[in-house]
Amino acid sequence: MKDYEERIARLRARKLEQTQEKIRVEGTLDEDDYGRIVPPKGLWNIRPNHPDGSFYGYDAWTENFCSLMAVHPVYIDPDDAFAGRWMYFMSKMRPNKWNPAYPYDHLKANIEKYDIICGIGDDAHFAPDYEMGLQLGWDGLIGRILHYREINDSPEQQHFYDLHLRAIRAVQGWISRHVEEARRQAAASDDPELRARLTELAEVNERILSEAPKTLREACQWIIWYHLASRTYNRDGAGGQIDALLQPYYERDKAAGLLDDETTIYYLSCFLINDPVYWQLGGPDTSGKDQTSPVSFLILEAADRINTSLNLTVRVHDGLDPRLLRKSVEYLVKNRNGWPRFSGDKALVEGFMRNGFSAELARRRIAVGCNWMSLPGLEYTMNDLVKVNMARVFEIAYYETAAAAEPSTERLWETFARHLGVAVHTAAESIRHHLSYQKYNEPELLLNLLSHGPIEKGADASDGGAEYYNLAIDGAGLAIVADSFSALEQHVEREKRLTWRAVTAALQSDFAGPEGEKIRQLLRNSERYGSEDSAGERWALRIRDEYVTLVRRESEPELRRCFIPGFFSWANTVGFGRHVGATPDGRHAGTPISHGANPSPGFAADGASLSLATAIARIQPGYGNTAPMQWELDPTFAHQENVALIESIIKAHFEMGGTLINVNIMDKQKVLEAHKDPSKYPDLVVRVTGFTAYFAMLSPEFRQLVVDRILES
Amino acid sequence: MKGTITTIQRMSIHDGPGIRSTLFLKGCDLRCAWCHNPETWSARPQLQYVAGKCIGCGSCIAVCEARALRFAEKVMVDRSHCTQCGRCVEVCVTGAMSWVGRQIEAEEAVRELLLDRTFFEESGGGVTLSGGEPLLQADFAEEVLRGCLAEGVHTAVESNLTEPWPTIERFLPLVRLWMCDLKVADSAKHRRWTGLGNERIVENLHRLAATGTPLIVRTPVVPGVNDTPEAVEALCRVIAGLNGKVAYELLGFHSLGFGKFDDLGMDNPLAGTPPLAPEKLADLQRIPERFGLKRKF
Repeated sequence: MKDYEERIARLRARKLEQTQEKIRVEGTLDEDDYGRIVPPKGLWNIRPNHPDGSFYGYDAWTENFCSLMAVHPVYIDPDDAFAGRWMYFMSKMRPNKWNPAYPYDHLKANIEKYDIICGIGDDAHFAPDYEMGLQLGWDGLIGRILHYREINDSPEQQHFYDLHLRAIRAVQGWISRHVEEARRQAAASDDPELRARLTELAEVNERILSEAPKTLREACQWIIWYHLASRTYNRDGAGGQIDALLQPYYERDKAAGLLDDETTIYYLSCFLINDPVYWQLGGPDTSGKDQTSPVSFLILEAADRINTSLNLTVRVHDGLDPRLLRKSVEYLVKNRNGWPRFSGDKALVEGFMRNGFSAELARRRIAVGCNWMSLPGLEYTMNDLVKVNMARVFEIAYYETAAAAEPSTERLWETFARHLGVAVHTAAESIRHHLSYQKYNEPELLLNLLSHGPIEKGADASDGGAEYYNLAIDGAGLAIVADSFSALEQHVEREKRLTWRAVTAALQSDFAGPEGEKIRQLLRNSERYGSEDSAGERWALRIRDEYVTLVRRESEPELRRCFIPGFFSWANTVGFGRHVGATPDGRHAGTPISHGANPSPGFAADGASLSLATAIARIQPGYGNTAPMQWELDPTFAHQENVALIESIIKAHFEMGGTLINVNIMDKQKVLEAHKDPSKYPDLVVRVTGFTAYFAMLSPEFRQLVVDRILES
Repeated sequence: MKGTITTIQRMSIHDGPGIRSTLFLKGCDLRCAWCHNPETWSARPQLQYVAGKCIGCGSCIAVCEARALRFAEKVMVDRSHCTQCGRCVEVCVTGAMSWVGRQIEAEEAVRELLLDRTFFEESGGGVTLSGGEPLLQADFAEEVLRGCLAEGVHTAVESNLTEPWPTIERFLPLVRLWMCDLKVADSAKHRRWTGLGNERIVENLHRLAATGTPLIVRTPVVPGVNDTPEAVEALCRVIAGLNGKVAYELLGFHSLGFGKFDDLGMDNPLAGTPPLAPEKLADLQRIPERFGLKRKF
C-alpha cells in the first residue's frame, strides 16, 4: 500500500517535534539545523587524551569515533525509507579545539586586534567525492586502503591506514546494528505491512553493509551513512551534485521495473529530511553539458513535499534546462521557505579559472556548502572558516588617522590598507599554522576516505594528501567600511558640514544626545554603497580591489596553496558587531555589522532588488569564491504571476557577475509574531545566511537581526 | 536638451511588460482628483516635507529667513511665506526636507535609465515615460526615447493624449507601446473630475489605434466617479470602437499616493475616499469582456 503522503506528513511532524526537543534540551543555536537529534542522556561522552580534557590527534579521534559508533543509538522510523540519524557533535563536545602542543601565540595579538576568525583547528569545510563512495561501497574503500597500504609502508603510513580501516569497520558495525534492530522490530510486529517495510529496510542495509549500492534506495542509504558518520566525526555537511549522482540508479531501477516516480519522490523526501545537506541541482558537467535530468525535478518535488529546512542549490548557467529554473522559482515563491538557492556558473567558472585552473575543473567546483564551492574529493579548503572583521580594521585605522595633525580620507585609506594587509597576512599565517598541525589536532579520518590523494599518499587531507589547497579568506563588514569612508568624504571633506573632531566625539559617545543623533542622521544620509554611481560604491570597489590583492599575494604556488578572496560574514555579523564601536556610517556601537557583500539595509530608496543585484554582481572578488546576494524578497511581489520576473532578476544577477543568491520571502507580520513567541511558529524557516534554520531555534539576539533585516529591506 | 523629472523609478512592473525603468516627467495639464502622483502636476520643482523622516532637530527653522517654518509636533510649512530659497533642504540632516523635481539632460536620463538594461533584456522589459504628461516636454521626451531606441531598448509612453495630434504623431516612430487613460466617457463629467473635456483624447485614441502600434487603454475606477456598470459600459463602447491592437484594463483606485498631498502642502480633493473593493472591481471587469475587450494583447 502506498501511503506515502501520510508517511511524509508524519515524518515532517516528527521532525518538528525533534526540533522542539532540541530547543528544550539544548537551548537555541544560531546555526544550521543539521538534522541532528538529541542523544539519550549519559550514553556516551568523549574520551580525553590530554590533561585539558580534550582529545587530539589520529589515535584519539579514531578511539573516540569508534567508541561512539559502537554505542551510537540505532534510529529506525517505520515511516522512513532510510535508517539512521546523527546525535553527537563530537568536535563540539571538546572543551578545547586546538592541541596546546602547537601554540599560535605569535598570531594571537593580531587575531584579537583585528577580530579575525582564524580557522585554526576548525572542522572540515571541503567536499567528499560521493561518486567514488557509491562505486566502491565500504568494502571497496577497505580494498583501496589495503592496496595503498602495500605501497606506502612507513610506520606512520601503516598506522594511518590501520586507523582508517578501524573507522570504516566502526561505521559498518553501526549499520549492522540497524539491520539487527530492523529485523527485531519486524519480527515483533503483528502488522504484515509494517513487517514487510522493516524487513525491506533491513535488507537494503544488509546489502550495502559491505557491497556497493545497486539501487536508488541503496545509493541514498549509502550516502546517508557516510554523511551521518562524517557529520558525527567533525560536522562535515558538504553535499554534491545529487541529481547526477542518483540518475544512473534511477534509470536502472526504472528500466528494471523496480521503481515508479511516486516511490522515487517518497525515497527522496526521506533522503532530504534526514539532514539539510548542501546539494547542487542542474549545472554543467565537465564538458559544459547541462546535468539536469528527471531526477533533478523529482528532487525538487520531494523537497516540496517535505518543505522543511533545506539547502538545495540550483546551478544557473546558459545551458540550464529552463524548466528546472522555472520550477525552482515556483517552489521558492510557493513555499516561502528559503529554498532553493541559486548559484551563478559563469562568474564562478571564469573566476576559478583565473587561479590557473582549467574550465573542466572549474565546472566541477560545485555548491556544496553554506556560501562555498568545492571540488568533491579533490581539494582541501578552509571555506567559510576564516574571516577578517574589516569594520574592526577600519575602526583601528580611523582612530589612528583622527589623532593625526591633518586627517583626511586619503590618509585614512592608507592607514586602513596597511592594517588590512596585516590582518589578511595574519589570517593567512593562521591557515598555514592550521595546515602544519591539524593532523595532530583533528585529522580528516572520514573525509580522507572519499578524497583523491590522502589514501593514495598515506597523508591526511590537511597535510598534503589532497590534490589542491584552495584556501578561503572572507572579508566581512564591507558596507560598514565603504559607507563610513563615503560619509566622511561627503560631509567632512566635500560639504564641510562636520569636522573630524566632531565625528570622533560623536563616535566616542555613540552618538549620545540630540546633537549626537543629528550627526548620526547626517552621516547615515550619505551616498551609500548599493546606490549607483555613489561615493559609497566607489569606496566599496576600492576596498574590494585592495582586499583581493592582499589575499591573492599570500598564495604559494610552490606549496600548491592558492588563497582565494570572498566576502561573507556567515552568522558572525552579531559577534563581529559586538566588537566594534560606533562607525562613521551612523551605525551604533556594538550593533551587527553589515551582512556579507550586502549593502546596509535601507541603502536605496526604490528598486532595492535591482540595486542589490547590481551592486553585489559588481563587487565580486572574482576568483571563484562567492560574495552572496542575500535577498529579502518583498512578499507582496513574490507571487506566482511574478515568477518570470523573479527568474529574470536571478539570471540578470548572474549575467552581470553574481555568484550565489540566498533568498528569503518573509511575511513581516508573521516574523514579528514569531519573534514575540517562537513556539507559535515551530515550522517557520529562515535563510539566515547560506544556511536555513528554524526561526524558533535562533537566539533572541539573532532573531532580532533577522527581523531588522526584513523590516528594513 | 534638459527636462524636469520627479524621479526614475527602477523595477517598475506595472508600466508595461517585464522589468522597466520609468521616467516620471514633471508637469501635467489634467488635475485628476484621484491622482496618486500629485507631485507631477506642477512643472516646477516643489518643496516636500516628509514628517516621518523628521527628527525635530529644528535646523530648518533656524535657517528660514522667510519665517515660513514653525514647529508644532512636526514642522509646519507656511507655503504662502516660503520663498523657495532651499536653505531648509540644505541643512536637513535626514532628508525630511527635499526638492521634488530635478533638471536633467536627456543624455544623462538615458544613461540612468539604461543602468538596468540587463534586467530589461532578461525580462523583456524596457523604459517607460510617464508623469505627469510626458508629451508636455516633447523635445526632451523625444531625445530620451531616441536614445533608448538607439540602444535597442523597448520604449513605452504613458500619456493622457491631451496634446494635439501632430505632437503625438511626432512620437509614433519612437514608441513601441502606448498606455493611455480614458477616465470617463462623458466629456462634461471628464471635465468636472480632471479639468478638461475628453473630445481630443477620444479623437487621439482613434487615430493612435489606427496606426497599429500596441495600445493599452486604462481606466482608474474611482468610487463616486466612474464605479458604476453604466459608466464602465459607456467607456467600453468607446474602446470597442477603436480599430487596432488595443487592450483595455480597469484599475482599482487606491489611496497609496495620497500622503504626497500633505507632504507638498496641496489640497487633496478626494481625501478620505476608500480604496475600491476588489469584489466590485472584479464585477466591473466582466463588462469589458462582454464587449469583447481583452486585458492583455
